[in-house]
Amino acid sequence: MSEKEKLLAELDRCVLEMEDEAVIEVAEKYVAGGHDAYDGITEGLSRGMEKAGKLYEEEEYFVPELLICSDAMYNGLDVLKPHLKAGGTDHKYPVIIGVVEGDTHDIGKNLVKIMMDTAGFDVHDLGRDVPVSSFIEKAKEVGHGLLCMSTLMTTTMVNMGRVIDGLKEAGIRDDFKVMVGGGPLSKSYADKIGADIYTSNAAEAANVAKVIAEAFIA
Amino acid sequence: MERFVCVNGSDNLQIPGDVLESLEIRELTDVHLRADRIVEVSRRMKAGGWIRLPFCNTLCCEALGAVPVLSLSGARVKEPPYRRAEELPDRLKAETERLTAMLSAVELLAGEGNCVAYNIEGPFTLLCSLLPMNRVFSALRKEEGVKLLEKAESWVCDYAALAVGRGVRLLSFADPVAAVDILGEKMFSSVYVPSLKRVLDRLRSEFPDTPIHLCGKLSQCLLDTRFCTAERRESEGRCASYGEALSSFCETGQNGVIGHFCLNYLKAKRTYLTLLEL
Repeated sequence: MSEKEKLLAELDRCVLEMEDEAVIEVAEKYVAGGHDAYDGITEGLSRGMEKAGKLYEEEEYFVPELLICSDAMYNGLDVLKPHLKAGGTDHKYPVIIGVVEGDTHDIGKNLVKIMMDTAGFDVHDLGRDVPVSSFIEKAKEVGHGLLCMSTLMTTTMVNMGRVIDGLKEAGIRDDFKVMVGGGPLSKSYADKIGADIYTSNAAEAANVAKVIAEAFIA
Repeated sequence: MERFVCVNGSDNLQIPGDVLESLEIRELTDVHLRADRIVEVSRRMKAGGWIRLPFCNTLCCEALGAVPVLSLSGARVKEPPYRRAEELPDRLKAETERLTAMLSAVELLAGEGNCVAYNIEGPFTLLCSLLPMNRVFSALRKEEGVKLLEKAESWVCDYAALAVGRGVRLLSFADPVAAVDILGEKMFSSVYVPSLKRVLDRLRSEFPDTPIHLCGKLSQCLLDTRFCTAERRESEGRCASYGEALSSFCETGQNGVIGHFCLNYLKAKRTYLTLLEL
């Protein structure tokens, strides 16, 4: 195994085993060795995060583990990103994501964001308790892609429909696929408000997003 | 015993639109900052013989430095006010305007002889409102996690003391973040349950006349992981609702942990309680 391969495996392991501090040193060593930063991300950090996501799907890992793994990934990214060569990355499919206005429960949204980041999407995280207007403004700015909304509360579900109406009013509804999810939601509710996709968990959301992005690129 | 399934979806007690309408409440200051208006609203929302206070879910966080967004439909902490565990305060600042109004309302209502149930949140939910969740979980895996939890447990007990001191008859305890499907069984068992036990022991010891009602979701998690046993207790005397069964229990002067049901259903025709032993 070459030095580069050893360090890639170590980046992968640090993310998977939640070594959110040790990963920084490994990433620095990787960069100091003159290795390609893009490979460090895709074959090291992201690979570890993909494995963590798989363990989450299998209920070996839960929210705390996944969040700490993602901390490790982002810590490694902070070191590697400044060393990316210009033009060295593929065009990324944009994703806008947020918890709708009135709701601050963002666990599910954060998991989807992590999985989308790991899958290589260009994620625009609007946070939680996001007004309808902020979704629309960001959609206008980004231009096309996937717009994801979540909520845990029945009282705020209505705001998802308002965002979709806002996209229509702005004349950009067809430029976006709208994905919704969250505790009280269902496929029938998604259909009712005119969303394109309903997903019931973070892993499913990322998998469906990949299919959409691939179809767009094709 | 049947499983408890939560269909409420929100930990925030909402004021029904007709109550706002009939009391002509249009300003959010009325329901957040004016004790007299909070009293009026709470009286209207009385159910099963119990008074519950709307919007008290973010008061403790606010007393710890959070800045809630207020509206007529509730209060919510949009962003955690701290980035690092070391920044967290040791003690509550009980003199915030909103908490002062709420405690005055509790005192007035209890003084009228009402049975008042008061919502308090557990250590995990408080921590995750004050710090980014990843920071909380990261800290809990390390040595610093012990002190962090001790601090949060003290906040919970200090906050409960403020309410009990104003005459509440029942503490309603929930910790929405602390669910097995969120934390996983390992963290729930090894970190959360010991913390919860310390909090409950302390509350029961400091407030021996105030029973604790544990959120149904949390109760179910404890039952699933076999950290508690449940005993069905038929109410003494004739009771028509869950609220009356609770009142009857409180009148006996027993100090217990009740659970496996929800205080949103005080009017439910359920004449027994489930006592939990942790």
